[in-house]
Amino acid sequence: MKCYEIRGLLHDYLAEELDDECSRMVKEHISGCVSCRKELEVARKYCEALAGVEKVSAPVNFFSGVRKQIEEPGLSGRIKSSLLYPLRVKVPLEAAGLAVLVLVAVFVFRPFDTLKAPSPVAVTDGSVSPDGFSGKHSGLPLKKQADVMRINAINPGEKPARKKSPNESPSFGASKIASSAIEKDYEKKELSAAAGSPSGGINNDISDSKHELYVIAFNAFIVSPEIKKERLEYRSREKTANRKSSEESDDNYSVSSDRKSNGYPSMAPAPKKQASAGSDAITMVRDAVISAGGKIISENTGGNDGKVSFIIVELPGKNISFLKERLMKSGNVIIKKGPEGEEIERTLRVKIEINE
Amino acid sequence: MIGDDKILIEGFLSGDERSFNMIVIKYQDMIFNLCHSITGDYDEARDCAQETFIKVYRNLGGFKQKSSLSTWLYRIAVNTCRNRISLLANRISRKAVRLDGLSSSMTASVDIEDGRHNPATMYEEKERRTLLIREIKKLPLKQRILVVLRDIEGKSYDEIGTITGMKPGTVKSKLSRARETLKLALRETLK
Repeated sequence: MKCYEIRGLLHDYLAEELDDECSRMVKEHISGCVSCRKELEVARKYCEALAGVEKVSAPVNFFSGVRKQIEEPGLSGRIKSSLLYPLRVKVPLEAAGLAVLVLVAVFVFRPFDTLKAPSPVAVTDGSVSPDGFSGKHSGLPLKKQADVMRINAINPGEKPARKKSPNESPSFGASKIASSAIEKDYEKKELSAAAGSPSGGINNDISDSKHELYVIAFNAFIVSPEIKKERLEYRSREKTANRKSSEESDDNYSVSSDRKSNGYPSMAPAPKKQASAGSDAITMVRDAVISAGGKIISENTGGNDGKVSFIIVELPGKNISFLKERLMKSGNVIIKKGPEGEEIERTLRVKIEINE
Repeated sequence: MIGDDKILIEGFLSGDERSFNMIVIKYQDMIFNLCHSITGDYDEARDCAQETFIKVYRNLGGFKQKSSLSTWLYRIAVNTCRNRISLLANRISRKAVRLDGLSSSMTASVDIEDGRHNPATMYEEKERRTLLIREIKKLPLKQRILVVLRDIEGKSYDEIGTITGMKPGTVKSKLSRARETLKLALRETLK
């Protein structure tokens, strides 16, 4: 055995706790190793010094002190026992569970946040059913302020509203102007609400542009169907009020009953004939979106007839112009609103309305 | 004569307070001495030892008698000292620093702390004890406990493992380091 191994056994050797074999090896090594013999001597003195330490007896009043503390607990012990043992106010388990559930519900639904800042939702058409909207968008990432470009595509079989001749019937022109007024008024509300948000600056820039572009701040933060329903009702009331004000301002004109029933005032003509969800307009829009590097997030049906009323797509911001060009090439598309700037780095969410 | 531990435990659990009193009387010196060796302070040792017996009084019903009563007492005392030292570490160190800072020629703080309990004319043995306790007190807490249990109390490695919750290999390695440190500090005394 090496010296360091022997030195690790010296204390046990002195305590006679080694087995015979180890003890013999240590003894043989020590007899021939001077340094280990010195180390053994130091270890012996160390053991003697510590083992010979005089024992200290407990104080005289030690026992009485223990009994006193057992029979009379200290001040802190008395306070604890008086407060907690026995617990005078017992909280029922049901009440505690209910409190926890309420806290969780408040945390999840956050009603106060909604009341504090009723951000605009990308629902501009009151005819969109609340369930359908929430169902389609609940899976979207919570992107607080995403821009939505709304593009109206009309059936290729119909003429675009912009290409209408100026000498068309006054009633239709009046309704268009009224609808436009409603839309602009509503648009202002949307933009002013969005301006309060951190990303509202983008919308302000767009609102000042000369183009007839329509951007709605989109907030996907929908936490419950009830809250969303309230929002929609609010919007519906707001739109009704706007519509009435527009009607009052344009006494000579009247909005057609078709437009009223349509729910959302649009420059595109109201649907006159039914079209399937896979119609030319939808197919064209889908192709354009895919060719622009985008993806279709959801296709929403606007009513009970199962038609696709609008499509939410997501695509890189820099491809917006390409998408607009593709849609414009078809000659059947009116781009009413859209974000300015060709080099938008971030991903945009675009809402394309299909009015067939 | 104080009876067997098992009889005393059963007597206490059956409601006989005198059994507990006998346990205290039987082990008070042992526990107090252990606490004094670990804490190095007379008052702290008294508090720790008394707290140990109060814990015994409240938890003796849960003692499963897998080890001897003395080992169980050792374990409670060691944990009590460990907790108390951890809690009062700052206070004790501040006290020592303040006393040391009064004068550079003043003797070590331990002498002052224990001075009121020691006579002015110390015997050589008491001086040696003071020196040993002071050096042991400088050790890290885990090493200190091991040195006290092994080299002063003479416990076996298995008992130390039961008391401290360490494995025997860990006990040996830590004890070896502690001994080297102590030998270095006491080299003048051990000559």
